[in-house]
Amino acid sequence: MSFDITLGYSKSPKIQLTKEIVEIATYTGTLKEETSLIDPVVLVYVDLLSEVRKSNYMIIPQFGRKYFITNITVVRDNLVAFECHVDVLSTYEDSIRNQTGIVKRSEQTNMQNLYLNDGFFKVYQNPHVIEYEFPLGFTEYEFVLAMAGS
Amino acid sequence: MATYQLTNYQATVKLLDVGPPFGEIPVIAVKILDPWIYTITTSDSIQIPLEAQYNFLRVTAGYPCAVSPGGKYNDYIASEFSSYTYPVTSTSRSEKGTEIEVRDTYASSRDALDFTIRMYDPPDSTGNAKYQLVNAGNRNDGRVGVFVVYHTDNFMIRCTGNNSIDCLHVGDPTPNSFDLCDNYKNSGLAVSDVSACSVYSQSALTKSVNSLINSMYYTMRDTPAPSVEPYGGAGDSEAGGGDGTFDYSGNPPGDAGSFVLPNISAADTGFVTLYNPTMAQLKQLSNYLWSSSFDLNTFKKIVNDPMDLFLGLSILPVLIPSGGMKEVGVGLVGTGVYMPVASSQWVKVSCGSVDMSRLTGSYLDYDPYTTVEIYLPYIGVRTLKADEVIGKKLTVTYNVDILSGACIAWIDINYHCMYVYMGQCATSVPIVSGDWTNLINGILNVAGSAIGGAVKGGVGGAIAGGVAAAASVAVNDGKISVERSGNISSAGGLLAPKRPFLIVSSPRICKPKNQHTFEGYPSYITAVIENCSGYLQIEVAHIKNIRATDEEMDEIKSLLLSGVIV
Repeated sequence: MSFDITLGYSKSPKIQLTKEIVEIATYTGTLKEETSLIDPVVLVYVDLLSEVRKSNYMIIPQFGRKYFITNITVVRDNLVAFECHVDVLSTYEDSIRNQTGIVKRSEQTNMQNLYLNDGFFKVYQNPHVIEYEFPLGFTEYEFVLAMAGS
Repeated sequence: MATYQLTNYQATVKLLDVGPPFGEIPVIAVKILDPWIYTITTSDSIQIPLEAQYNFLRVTAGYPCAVSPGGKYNDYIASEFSSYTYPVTSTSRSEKGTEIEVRDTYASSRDALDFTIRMYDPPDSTGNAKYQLVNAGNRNDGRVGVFVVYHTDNFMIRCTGNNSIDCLHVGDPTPNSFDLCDNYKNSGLAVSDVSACSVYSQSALTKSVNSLINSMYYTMRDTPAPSVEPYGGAGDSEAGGGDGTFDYSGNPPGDAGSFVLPNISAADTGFVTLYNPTMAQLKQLSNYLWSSSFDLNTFKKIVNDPMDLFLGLSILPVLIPSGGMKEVGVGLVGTGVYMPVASSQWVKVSCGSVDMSRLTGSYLDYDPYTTVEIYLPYIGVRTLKADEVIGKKLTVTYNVDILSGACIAWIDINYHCMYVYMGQCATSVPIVSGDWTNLINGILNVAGSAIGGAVKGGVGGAIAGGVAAAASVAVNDGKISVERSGNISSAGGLLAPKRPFLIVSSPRICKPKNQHTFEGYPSYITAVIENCSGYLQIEVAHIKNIRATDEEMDEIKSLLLSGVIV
């Protein structure tokens, strides 16, 4: 069984849904042996080894999935085995975006509530000490003589 | 082991029916509407005294009374079983429920009369077990008789006269009609009104039945087991909550401005006059007192010591409301010195307001991270709750009694009184030697209390003019807590700051640059991920509608919980 693969290089963090992929080459791959779609090992005859060794991402349209390349093994001349693991975030990106949940933490300003105390702030040992004086006070001094009788 | 008698038990009885003839005496089924109830569990040990009065209970069909020796079977009960008790020797289960058996404990002069008592414990629909005891005996011919506690609330009585009843005795032959009584009840055939019975009135019947029931008793060995379960259902968890009003408007008190000072004062009584002299006027009065015009003998005709008429001279830090000029009189004698008199005993002093804005705009602005203290003139430093004052307007107002020097500091939070502290703002000016002694003693008392606090805290404090500093020290959460002052009053207050001020300790945040892009800030808001951007961490989500394998679904959920970038 052979299928088309696109080798690329992901410039994005692994946890990002939409990844920025720099395409390196397109090849035809085969499965090394009976393998899962989650962690496949794909055999590819490559034209230029120096070209593909920089890849860390693979798209296999026939599998409907995008993969992180977890290891690259040179089997023999120009035959390379790519060990992959599915990138579920990018593969199912559209479906994930439609999910609803309770957000625990967010970078987005209008999704934040800093009055919730989950201990995210670290503080220095020396606090700020601020004084605020009231604008008025006791300014006059007078005698009071209390005498018996009217 | 304890014996329980069913004293004070008051059953409500209801005449069900006049049963089939019992010889020439009618048999009446009585339903105890509030029947005698006790529960026997398999762990109980029970001793049942065989007393003659049990014989009113239900008589089972087919027991061996017909062949009992010596005449009627209940004679045995009366003569032989009385005062004997029988411990439970075994328990077992049967179709009727728990069966408790008492065996071979009866020694009789008669021939080998062994008796067995069994108590059946069939639960009814309400979960209660109700029992009635009936007899049977075991004869030496090998037949087994039983005392049986039946689950029923009916029993049979018979009429013995117009105003008395007699329950069926053990051994009395019965017409096997008891079950029929239940049937009558169930079929609705039972008469519902006791007036249908020509023999008894309802009250007479009830009284008689109660009399019989109250003579019953039973003996439990060891501690009786709880009737149902130890808490009787109390304390079982239930659904609740969610019924709050969420109405946080409350009914707060007004602020100091809305407080109306008393409209009566000591100056209005005629016993006291409050003068507001200038320094020059005081000197005039002093000159008069030490002049030849001040004839001591004249005054001694009025009071023993003319200085008793001088109640006090104080320095107060307030403007005294003027009520016009008046000659100072010592008793009935004018001094020729005129001074303004105070129109009121009470004075209000406003210290203004301070807006306590939030400093970090986060939970760090509140307790226990932020601490707020307030210095109040003539009172000292007091602690306020950051939770209550941060983000609010604080207003301080004093109400002063110029006669005693007592002052009350109101602290209004957003125009509502929330803190009230009392102090002393009058500095006494000695006129006689006693005044001087009191003044010094007052200062030493204030200073002494502060010194005590310092020793207790392990750190010495400097005391000056009644102002105590650095009194007590304690270590909380790794931080040293220092009391900033003791009580400040009188002359000490005169030398201390005259305006209130706040001392706020706010955490100094250590925040890495762009921290929110790496780990976000707390949210706890429900949202569709599509509407979010940047770093996102999900607290809870039920992942659905994704055509992925189970393993992939788990990984998606795990990643959302640990954080993704949208």
